[in-house]
Amino acid sequence: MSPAAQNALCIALGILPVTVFLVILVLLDSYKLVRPRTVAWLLAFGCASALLAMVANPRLQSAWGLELRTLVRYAGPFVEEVLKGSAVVYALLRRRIGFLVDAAIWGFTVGAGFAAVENVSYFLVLAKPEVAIWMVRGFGTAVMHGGTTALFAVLSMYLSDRNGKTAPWTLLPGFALAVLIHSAYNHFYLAPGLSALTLLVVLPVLFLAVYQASERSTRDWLGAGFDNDQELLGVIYRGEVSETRIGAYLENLKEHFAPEIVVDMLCLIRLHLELSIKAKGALLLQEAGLEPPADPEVESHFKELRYLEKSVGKTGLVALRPIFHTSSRDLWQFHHLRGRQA
Amino acid sequence: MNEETFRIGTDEDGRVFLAGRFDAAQVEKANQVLDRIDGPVTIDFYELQYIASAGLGALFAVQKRIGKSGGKLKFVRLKPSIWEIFRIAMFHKLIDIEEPPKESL
Repeated sequence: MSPAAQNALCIALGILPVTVFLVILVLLDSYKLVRPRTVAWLLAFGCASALLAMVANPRLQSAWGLELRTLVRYAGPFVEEVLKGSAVVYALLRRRIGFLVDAAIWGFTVGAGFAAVENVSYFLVLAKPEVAIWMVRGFGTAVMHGGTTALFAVLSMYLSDRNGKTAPWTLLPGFALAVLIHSAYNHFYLAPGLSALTLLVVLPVLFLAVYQASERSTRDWLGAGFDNDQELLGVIYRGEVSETRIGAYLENLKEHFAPEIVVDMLCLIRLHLELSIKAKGALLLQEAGLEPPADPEVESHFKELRYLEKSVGKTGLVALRPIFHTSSRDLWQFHHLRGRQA
Repeated sequence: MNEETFRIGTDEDGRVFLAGRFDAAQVEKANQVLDRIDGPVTIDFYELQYIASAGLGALFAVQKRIGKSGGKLKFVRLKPSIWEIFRIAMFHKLIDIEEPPKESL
């Protein structure tokens, strides 16, 4: 094999496996929860994290007088998982992730970007590229980077979901597990080839389980949510709201708020339901394999929503909480809807 | 027969009619008719009181299937409440849906 062909093969081995893994993850997501543009941003973020790690790791080594082995086994995995995981923390705090599937894709994509830059930089540093090394780096190290961040994202999403919001304790177990796996991988307990093989067997099984659980939970949430929203909206349209629990509650609020605020509260509930139906309707179409059409009304609806939230005020929103529950998934669906129009 | 009881069938003009409540429990029954659709067809909603997300999923699956050969479903005589939900969710941009007369909205 000519040196040029060997170089090309090594680069391909370093980057392709993780890319193929990522493409499969995105394609298997039947609800198309993560848009291609977001995937591109996450890849870029992963690349930037790797560049940052290349600056941070040597500095940490010299500042703390670490041996190379200590850096590779302990400090490196910690720093790298912090850098990669920060995108996931941002997404969880800003409700950009709604389900386990998009959590897995967010995490794996950042890890894939990180691995691509890391492998290219190793390629530039190593004097003589050897196919065996690049098979391990491509099928092992690169997939490990994607896998650990995906695991962090999935576990954190799961715990945040159960907790109702993201808190430090919902992030710590996933982070600890990611650092532990990364560190164990760098300890070379197993022969490199065997480590890579283990990852290639374990990760797909893990992702399959995550996808199945997530698809089930998405379907349940989507079905129950859409049906409840359309029934409630029907009641409002038919002017029968006074006969419902919401009507009785709003009647009570009249004693504490000006009449025009109570009217705005009802408008807010109605608009919230309409936006919720738009978001869930788009997901239903995507589930069926149909491309949801662009909706020119969405942006003006969000403007109206902000106006009504301001008009009702913080106290009004608190007063509405018993009937107007906004879960993290409710907020996520709005981000998803807006993102689709962009 | 209770107007809530779900029914589905085909009339002499080849139209598929839906009646009652089309929810998750009725999808299997509906698919016995819907699975036979292999081209553009009109679906009459006149007696349909309610359609749940599961029912919509069954209809979208037909649209997806016939859409491959350029076919399109047509929904006619919808209750205003059902039409409103379809309009809000933008389903009318993908499926040919007849708008109910203005006075009924």
